[in-house]
Amino acid sequence: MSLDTTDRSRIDQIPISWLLYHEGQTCCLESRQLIVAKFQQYPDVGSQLAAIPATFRWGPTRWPAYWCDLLEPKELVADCGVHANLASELLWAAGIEHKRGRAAIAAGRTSVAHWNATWNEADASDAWLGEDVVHHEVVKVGDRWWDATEARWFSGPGAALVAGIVVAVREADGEWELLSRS
Amino acid sequence: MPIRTIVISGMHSGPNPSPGVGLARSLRAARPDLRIVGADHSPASSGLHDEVLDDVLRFPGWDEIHEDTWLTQMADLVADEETALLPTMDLEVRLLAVGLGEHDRILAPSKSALDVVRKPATAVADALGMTTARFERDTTRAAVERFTRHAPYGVWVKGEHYEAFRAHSPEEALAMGAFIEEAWGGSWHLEEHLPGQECGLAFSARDGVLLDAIFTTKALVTPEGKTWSGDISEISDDLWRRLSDFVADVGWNGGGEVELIRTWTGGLIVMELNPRFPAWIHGATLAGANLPATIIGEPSTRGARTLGPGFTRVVHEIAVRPELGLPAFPWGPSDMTAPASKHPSGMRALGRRHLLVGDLPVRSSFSGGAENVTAHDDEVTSPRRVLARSHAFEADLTSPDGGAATPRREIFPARLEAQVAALRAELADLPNVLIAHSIKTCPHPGLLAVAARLGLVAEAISLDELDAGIDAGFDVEKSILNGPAKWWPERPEVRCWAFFADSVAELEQLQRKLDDGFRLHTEVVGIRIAPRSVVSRFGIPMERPEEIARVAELVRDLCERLGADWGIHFHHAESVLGPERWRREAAGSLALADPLTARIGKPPAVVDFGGGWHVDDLPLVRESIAHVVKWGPAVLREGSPTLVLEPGKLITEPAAAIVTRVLIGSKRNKGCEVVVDAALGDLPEARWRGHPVARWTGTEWAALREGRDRILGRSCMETDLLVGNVDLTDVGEGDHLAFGLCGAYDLSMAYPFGRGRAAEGLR
Repeated sequence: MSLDTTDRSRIDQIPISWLLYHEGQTCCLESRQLIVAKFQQYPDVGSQLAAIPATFRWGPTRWPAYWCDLLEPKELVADCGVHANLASELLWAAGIEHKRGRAAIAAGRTSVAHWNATWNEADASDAWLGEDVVHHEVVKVGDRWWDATEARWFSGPGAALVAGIVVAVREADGEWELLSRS
Repeated sequence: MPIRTIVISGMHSGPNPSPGVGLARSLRAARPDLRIVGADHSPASSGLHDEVLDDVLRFPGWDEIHEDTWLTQMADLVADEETALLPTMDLEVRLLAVGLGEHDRILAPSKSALDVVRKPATAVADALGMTTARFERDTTRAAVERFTRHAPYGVWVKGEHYEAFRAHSPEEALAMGAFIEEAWGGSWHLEEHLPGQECGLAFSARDGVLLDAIFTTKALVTPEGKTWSGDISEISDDLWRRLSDFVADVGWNGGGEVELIRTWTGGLIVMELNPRFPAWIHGATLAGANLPATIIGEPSTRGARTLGPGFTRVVHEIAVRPELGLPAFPWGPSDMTAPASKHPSGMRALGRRHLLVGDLPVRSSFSGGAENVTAHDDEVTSPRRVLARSHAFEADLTSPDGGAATPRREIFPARLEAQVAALRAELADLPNVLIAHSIKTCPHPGLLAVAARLGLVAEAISLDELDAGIDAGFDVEKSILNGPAKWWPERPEVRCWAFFADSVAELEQLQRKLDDGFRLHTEVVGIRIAPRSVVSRFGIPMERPEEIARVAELVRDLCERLGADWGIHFHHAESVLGPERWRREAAGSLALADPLTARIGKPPAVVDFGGGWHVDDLPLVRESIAHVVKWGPAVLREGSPTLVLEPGKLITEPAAAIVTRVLIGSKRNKGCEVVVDAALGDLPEARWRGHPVARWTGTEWAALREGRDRILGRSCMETDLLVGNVDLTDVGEGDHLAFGLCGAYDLSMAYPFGRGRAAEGLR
């Protein structure tokens, strides 16, 4: 398992996801207030972050995405970029320093085929999907990595997530930390 | 002399397994030639059938053993210098330590070491540089109520010897505590539940020398919270040093497991220390660290090993040993199927035999204890404490010697005045605050008049209530209407200062009523917001922009039609939520004032914080409001709305008491009980919270203390239990007793059951 140059090049071209605001309108400010209020009912940051994927089931998001888009569908769905963006909002609100980041995950072709079909049906970009290595947005808090979609800490390259094995990870503007071949 | 035979106890292997099978597998992996004997007290202990065992030893169930005979058998087992005993059941370990003392070939800690690690594990936490969860050993109803109210995630009810249950209410906690006492014997205490990841620190030691240790972070747990899979890692050098010092200080022998919670920020909290290896210990062996092997003389591999990532359990079936057979299906007294249990051999019976005694070292870690002053705090260290927070109510009671009829209610207007003054002092630095008197909570005419005279505003949930308030002297121009049916009974015209609609349907109905000629004079059109995480039938939920838009549209329209400002109201009883949860709920719910402000076009003129405050929480009111101002909507910080507080029972509970007489007394199990001439109808809150009780000694009223006795109401209802866990040693037939803190719902919700009268009010 490793991050080859093709996957690295593909992933490096994917921007970190930021939810946008409709200029001159209150819709996105209002939606952001409602969304943040959903999580701030929880008393501690860990619970707030854990509530993100429980509230917004992981699934396709069409980018660029606006805050007011999130509350539109009957079933609340969001991808890892939204999850990481929301986690970042809550961490800032709690005064916790952190950085956005990205991971490359060896997920396996069987899983990738399902995600490819689902993202295409939703007319969402599948640029995050390689043949078996996928791009995943994460957050770094101190020297630990937080997966906002799986709501769990992970140690970095080599860590096992439900989605697969982390083969590489980097801060948004940092260098890749690669899985040791040993 | 090398150990050639080892006897391991605790062989049950079910969803909640004992450690025996895992230990046998680890020892077999280290020493294929070792003779391993599985010992247990029931053939229903499934691990006895595992082929890893060379032999099995069956003892009678724990409820059948003869203590001296069992100790003799245990001593005989280890009489052979090549045989060691590895006990794995907590109570068994303690019983061996007490009965046989220290022994070279009993691979378990000594009595003195066990005394150090009693729950709550404060000594362990100190030694490891960690903390414990907050705990409370005082199991009187008042203390349990207080601790539970201040534990926003719920509490654990933990037995001295075994068992832990999670509870979310005082009733649950008390019931579970009673169960633990009954099932296991010994005492119990409360610990605050902490959200986090379950971890474990397993270690092995001989004679005070730490041999090996590893750390696990549990990945999967069973519904009972038992480990199913986890990762395995080495412990830090610092933790190794601290653990080594602790093991040396207490002279630890055998295995041990420190149960830990890792918080989201990474801190470790000690839950308890188990005096034996954990049941998952073979998972560590499979990952590369065979701790059990070290206590039979094999060298530790620490420092020279690369651990695998972890372990997981799987379920597989094995054949039953013919010589043991399979006990038949155990029929119970009901039609429920008896599930596999961790204690098929009757371990609970051992607990009930009270073979283990000792002093309790620490009483409470509850930081709020000293702040919540009671009239009897000087008796906090007494082994038998006063029954409940009395607020010194007995000082106001009159002498019963005049022969006044019982049961009767005594009213203390000065108490209401004092509570209001104290609350005002708390809120002195807040501008624009109104204190409302909840009429439904305390509709006593005399107390209503006092509240009106003190300048409180009336808060009513019906127009009948509002009438009562006006009759008592409240200013209608400053009255507040709340609840889902505030316009009942129907009137052509209503005057109030503010109302808070409970639903969108109510706002829409009000529009129609106004269209039909209803005349409403109000300064504030308000809405009650639904709580965010508490299930409630009340309030308007607003999760999506279209819901905000609809509410804002209705409020704006009504404000224009009535020439009024708008307001927002949060209410969920603080006495139920506790201060920490209340703050969170209030801040989260009222946060919707910001998007509503944007839609309505102006900030709220009134923010109502609701009521139902616990009488003990008066010193926390200001702090709670400050929290909501800080973390709630920006309009609270940037604007200057009028703040309304509906303290309810906080100000009225101390203003009444009920005096009763003992009709009859009788013995009951270990205590006694009396029937009094008051009943649940006179004291309806008795089902939900403890009341302080005082006894007339002939010269004064004296507070009763906790005990094993109970006071029953005179009615024929099974639920007519007024007070439990009270000491009635000096109480006899004809004595006068008094219940305090009866000035709230005990007053407004009382009913005349058992007096030959129908309830009044309905015509």
